[in-house]
Order: sequence, then C-alpha cells, then structure tokens
Amino acid sequence: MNLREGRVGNGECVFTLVISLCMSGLFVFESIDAYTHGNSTYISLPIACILAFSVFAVGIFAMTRSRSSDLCAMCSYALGKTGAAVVCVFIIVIILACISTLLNKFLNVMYSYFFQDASYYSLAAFFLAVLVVFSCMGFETVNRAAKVLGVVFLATHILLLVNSFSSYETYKIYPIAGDGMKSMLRFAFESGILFLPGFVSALITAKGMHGTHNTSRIAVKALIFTVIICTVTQLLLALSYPYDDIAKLYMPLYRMSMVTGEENFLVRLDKISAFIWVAAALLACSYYIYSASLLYCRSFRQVDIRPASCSLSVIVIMLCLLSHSEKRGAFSWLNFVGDYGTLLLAVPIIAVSVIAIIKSCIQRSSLGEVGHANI
Amino acid sequence: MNKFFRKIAFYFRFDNSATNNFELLETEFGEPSKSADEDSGKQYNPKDDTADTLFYEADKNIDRIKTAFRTDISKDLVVRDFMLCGRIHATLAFINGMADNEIVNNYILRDGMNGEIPEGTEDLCKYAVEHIFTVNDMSIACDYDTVRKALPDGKTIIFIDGDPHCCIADTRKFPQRSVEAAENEKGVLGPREAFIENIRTNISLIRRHVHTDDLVCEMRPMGEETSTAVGILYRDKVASESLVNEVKRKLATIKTGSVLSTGIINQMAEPKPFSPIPQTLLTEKPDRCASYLLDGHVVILCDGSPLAAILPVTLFSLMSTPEDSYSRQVTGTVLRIIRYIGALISIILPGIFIAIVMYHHGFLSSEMLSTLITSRKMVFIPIGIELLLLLFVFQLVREAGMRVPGTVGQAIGIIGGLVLGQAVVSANLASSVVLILVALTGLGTFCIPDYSTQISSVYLRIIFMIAGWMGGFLGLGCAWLIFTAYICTLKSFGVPFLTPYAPKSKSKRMNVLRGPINNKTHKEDYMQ
Repeated sequence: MNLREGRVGNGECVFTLVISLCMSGLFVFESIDAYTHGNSTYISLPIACILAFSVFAVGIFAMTRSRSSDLCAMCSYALGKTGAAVVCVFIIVIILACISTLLNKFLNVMYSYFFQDASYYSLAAFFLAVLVVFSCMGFETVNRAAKVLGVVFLATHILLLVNSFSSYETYKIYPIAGDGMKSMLRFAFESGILFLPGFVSALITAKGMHGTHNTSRIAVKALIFTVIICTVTQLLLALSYPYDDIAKLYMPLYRMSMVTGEENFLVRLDKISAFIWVAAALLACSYYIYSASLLYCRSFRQVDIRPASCSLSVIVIMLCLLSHSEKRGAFSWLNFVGDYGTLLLAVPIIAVSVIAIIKSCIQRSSLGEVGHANI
Repeated sequence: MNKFFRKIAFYFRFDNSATNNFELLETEFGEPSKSADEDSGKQYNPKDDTADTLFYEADKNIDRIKTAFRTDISKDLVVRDFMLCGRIHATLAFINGMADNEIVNNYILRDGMNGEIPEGTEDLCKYAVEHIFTVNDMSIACDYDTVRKALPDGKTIIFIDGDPHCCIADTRKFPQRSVEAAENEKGVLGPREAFIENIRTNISLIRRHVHTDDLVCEMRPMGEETSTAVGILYRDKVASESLVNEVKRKLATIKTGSVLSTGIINQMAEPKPFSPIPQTLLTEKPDRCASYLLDGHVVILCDGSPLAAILPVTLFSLMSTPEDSYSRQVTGTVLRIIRYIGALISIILPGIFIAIVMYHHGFLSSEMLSTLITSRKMVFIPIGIELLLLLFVFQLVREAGMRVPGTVGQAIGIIGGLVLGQAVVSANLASSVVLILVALTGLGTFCIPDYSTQISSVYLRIIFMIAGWMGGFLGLGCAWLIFTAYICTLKSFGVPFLTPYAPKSKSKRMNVLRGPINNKTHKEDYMQ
C-alpha cells in the first residue's frame, strides 16, 4: 500500500491540527453572519470547538470499543463494506465543501487586496500546485511542514495582535454576550462545521497517529490551543471594532492590522501576515485533502493515494473557481453545507459510532456468555 | 531513453513500495518501515572469489604477472629471483617507486636468503611468513585476483616454488604531502590539521581523537580498474547495525570502473543523487569526523582523496561548524543565528526583491521607492534580467577566483567586485540597488559552511526568483511551501533531514541555538 502515512510524532500532529482548526475557525465564517447581532464570537467559537470535539470524542470512544484503527474501519465494522463506502463518500463530499470554502476565502483575499489584475484561474493554479504536492507527499510531510511553519505562523499572529495594542478599547466590546444566549448558541452550533473537518480528519488518520489513545491525546492538546488562540483573537478583534463596523469587513483580522497598527517598522505586517495566512490555509487544506483521499482509498481498497489526492485537489480548486463563474448558482449547495454542515457531518459520525458501540457491546456480551457456557 | 521511461514508470506505479528509501528505526513509536526496499539494511556479504588459484611453480606465476603488467612495454615491474634459505627457488615482484626498497632489501631478501627452513616443510609460505621474513604486515593469498590488486597498491609479492600460495608484504612507500592546515574549513579555535591523500594517515589522524577500542575500519577495494581502497569507519555497537549494513550495501552496488575521490563515492551512494540538498557531509577535518563518529555516524574515507564523507546528516549538521562547539555558548549561538540568516538571505532575498518591485510596491516606503526608481532610471534591461545577469556575473567572478591560484585569485575578486560592478552601473546595465542586493546574496552564500550546500543555494535562489517573478509573494510563498515539503520528506540514510526538530528526538545535539556542553555520555537517540 502506498498511502504515505509515514511515521509522525505527537508534536507534529498537534501542530497540524491546531493550524487546521484555527484557520477554519478564524477565517471561514462570514462577518455579516457572525457580527450583525453583536459580537460574541469569543464565546461562541470556543463552544463550537468543544461541540466539534464532543463529536470526535464519541467517534474515538466507538473506535476504541470496536478496536478499529480508523474511521473507515469503524464504519466497516458498524455498517459493512457497502454501507461504509456510502457514508465515507458522504463525509468526503462534506469535507471537500469545507475545504473549498476555506480556499475560496483566501482566493478572494488574494484577488481583492493584492492581485486585482490577475484572474482567479491564475491564482488558483498556484494553490493547486501546493495542494497536489503536499497531499501526494503524504501525512509525514504535511505534519513536519506544519511543525516547521507553525512557529512562524504563531509568532506572526502574536506580533500582529500585539502591534494593534493601541486600538484596543473596552467600550467597543459591548454588548458583551451579543444578541443574547439564543443567538450565541445558534451561532456556536452553526460554527461547529468550522472545526468538525479537523477533528474528523484526526479520526480518519488515527492509524497514522499511532492509535486511538494517542489520537485522543493529540486532539485534546489541539483543542486547548485552538480554544485559546480563537478566543484571544476574537476578543482582541472585539476590542478593536464595534460590532456594526466589523460586520461590514470581509477579513476583519487583516483590516485590523492594516488600520490600527502602530506606525513603526512593522507597518507592513498586515500584508506579510496575509501571505502567511495563505500558507497556513494551504497547509490546512492539504491535510483535509489527504485525509479525504485516505478515507476514499481505505473505503475502496485503493493501493495508492496519489491519484485520489490529485483528483480531490483538482475538484476543490474547480469548486472554488466555479463559484466565481456564471454557474455559481449550481453551487448553492455549498451555502447549504455552510448553514447545516454541523448536522450533516456530525449525525453520520455519531450514528455510526453508536452502531459500532452497540455492536461491540453485543459481541462482548455474547463472548462473555460463551465463556460462562464453557465453564 | 528506456531507462528514463522506466524511471518515470517506477515513480507512478501503484504497487507496494512507497519509496525505495531505507529507514532507520525512529525514536517515536518506531518499527521498521514496510515500504523500504527488500534489501535495505540487510547484512552485506562480500563476494568471495578464490576460484582463480596460483600455480605451484613460481616461474609460471611470475610469467602470468609479467604478461598482465606488460613488462615488454612497461618497465615498472621489478622481478627478483632468489634462493629462499639457500635452497628453495623463490621470486619476488614489486612496482618500482611504490615499494620501500629498504624493506625489500633488508627484511625480505636478506632475511629470506639467510634464513633456515626444515626439510619436508609443506606450507612453505606460512613458514616463511612466521619464521623468516621480518616485515610487520604480511599476509598469504592463494588467488590471482588478490595478487593482481596488491602489486599496484605498492605491496611486494613473493612466490615460492612448490607452494600454490604467495606471501604479500606491505612495503608501501609513496611520495606524499605532509599534514597541513585545512584550506576550505578555516577556523580560529580548534585543531587546524586536515586530511591528506593517504588513507592510512587519515585513519591515524582520526584515531588520535577517538581512543575507543570499538572504532572499526573496514576496508573495501572499489573500482574495477583502480581498486581504490575505501575505508568505512564506525563504532561497533554504537553505530546502528542497520545503518552500517545499508552503507555497505550501497557501496557494494557501486560498479564503476574508477573511483578516484570521495566525491565520486558520494554521488553514487547518496539515496537521492539529483536532490538539490546533499545527504552526506564532506569534510577535510579529522576532529569533525571524530565528533560524528563518537555520536554513531559512519565515515567513509577514500585513498587518494583528502575528504571524508560523514553520514547520515541533517540540515543542522550541514549548517554547523566545529567552531560552534569550541566557542562559548553565547558566541556559538550568535554565530549560528547569523549563519542561518545569511543562508536565508542567500536563497530568498532576490525573490523577495523581485516580488516587491514587480507586484507589491506598497511594501516599500515612499523614500525607498523613489531611491529605487532613481537608481533604475537609465537602466533599459527589465529588472528580472538585470538581477539574473548580475548573479551570473557574480558566479563567474567566483569561479574565476577559484581557478586562479594564490594572490592573483584574490585580486580577481577585488577587480570583479569593484571595477566590474562600478563599470556595470556606469554603463546603465544595472542599478546600484541591485548590485548591493547581489553582493548581500553572495555574502549570505559564503555563510553556509558546507560547499555542496553553497552550490545548491545558487540554483535554489534562481528557482525562488522565478517564482517571485511569476507570482509575487504568492508565487514565492508557494515555492517556499513546496521546498519545505521537499526537505521534510528528505532522508539521509534513513534519518529524516530535519531531525531532531521534526521529528522530535531527545537529542541534546546543538541545533539552531547552541546548548551548553554538559556531561554527555549517551549517543544520539535518532542514530540508534
């Protein structure tokens, strides 16, 4: 089998997961949805992350109970091969939709802020090259690159937040809980789809992460770091802009740095950080594409991951480009995924996990009865 | 052409092997890779070829040697008949100028003629070696191939009538230069001596630093025509057995006619010879070799070459110098950081400049922008071509300076730098800003300690320049990501290239920041 899982350590996996979760959590959602009724994203995003983690926890518990090495094995155990294939394809489609949303965001950023004279196609070609290379080179490469570049991402992010220190004013944060608990929880629930692909990818690549126990440890560490980063970033954003101003901004973090940064030698930090975010987003997307390819290969017994990786990379880029073309109406299902994605991704995983747990309990009890009968 | 297509097909095939790479056991959850080559890490078994035996008659053996060495044309071979112990006919042969005449005269001929040998002795060669000849290094051979290789090596062959064996005496004495200071790896602190072309002397220089009894030196003849002595040095039970076996296996696959230098072995033994990043470290300093040997690395020496190949290596090995260890901790750390910044400048600065000038003017302040515009006002060449041209001129000056000996070579550098640079600016072929950039890039290149990595940086920066030219910071960022992916995947004889950072290991070996030198008795865990 040429599935390119390699051998990776805990630290590398944590970096990959944190980068993937943070990129989705900080940049994918639309400002108008998040901030129109007050800014409570510093509360709702951590709740969304914990919600996504709980789905992961159910899945990993079921995998441990059923002694499955990864998500595909658990689906096969619970539903049989055909059923597993159907569920896996569904999960892959949802993950692809999430990847295209993330990638589309940065494609728009590149086009709008830096390369107005270029076309979407030429910009997407650069993205495609990176996605193909990373997803084909495999899990080991993605994780090690995440560890190498993760420090740069984190340092730039901290520098950006510190550089905007002069713009933080507490009155801008009001109303503190946004429009109320109901809308906050609703947004938290809808934002679960931002973090679910990362945790689901961890379930898919659990074998490469050296087992379910190790994967759960990695996910817990990633959860802690992601919650801290997302909470702090959204809080500082809320301190920089009142909610009605921030709702009009396409990329609030970028604009925050651009407008409120101190006049010092770091005055161009907004542009540098934009490109660093693009690199992080490409890394995150590569990880998702790799995990989707791995799920496909395991479901359909493919021996080599490279055809699947290349194909899925191209599909993702096509989804991004087609949403900018005349046929964008045909891809309104992407908006549907954005609105109901939490349910679409969480329900199959929870259902399969429950079936797997029940099946394993039945098997264990029947083995226990046989044991008693033998005595 | 067929080989090319087979290579392409190999890369795209969908069967079991992921890569043809050998993998060492890793520290975190390691088990031997199932994707490695079938033969990887297997025990090396040298070919035992004793089929072509010698004759009982010494004259027949000598006639065969004379025919092979063309004594009718070449008068290098010296043949001397003598009576061993006054009664048994024997003949010795050696190559004129390669054997020590004093040893031949005093310890073979004189002792051989004056010795005594009992009647009825069957193993004449064995008896002669043990009781008659007083040369310290002697062996007995029974096959023609060993004799054929020993003569050009400077050894003396003695054939005795009535014995199908021959005695081989180590009488080597070549003119050679003395141990001098290293030319290419200069340092302020630490030892200055460097390897020379004699492998025996080089091994002794290493043994002066490594006083352990587990230091093993396995000699292999390599090259069908040159039979060059190649030494594989490692510490038994310290170096990984899989690594040593893999190195021997790789060397055994080298079937070339001539091996004249460590560089040739390097190219043929490296896992990825076409990689821009070297996977072995070539050094001319014995103390550096000793340091890596103590950690469990393997060193390859080649007779006739003043360079040793250390493997496996990581990025941090290629970027460190022995000077870092001999300096104080803070000094060593600062020097390293400067070196890494220099290397980064060398590779990426031209690309950043092109990207800013062509796509991202907003990065520059208005003063800098006006300076740039003013300096390029009269230059008619596009900025990308201008930068490429100046980088090319810089390489020309560098190559010319290396080929021209002594102080004239230094003068070439000054002439090229000052006069040519000034002339180019005056002729409006280039701007002063670009000239400064090229100079900075060149200085950054020289910060890289390893010569092979320096050369790699030359074409890596061209790639980044083209990426910046095509896509600005987006193109540059994507190229950087792809390059990072490549070095994350790269392995040097089973050890990932970014060890001990990614993957993490418990290594206390100094990386970017130089740690304190503690009481360290354990060897690197990623070398186990």
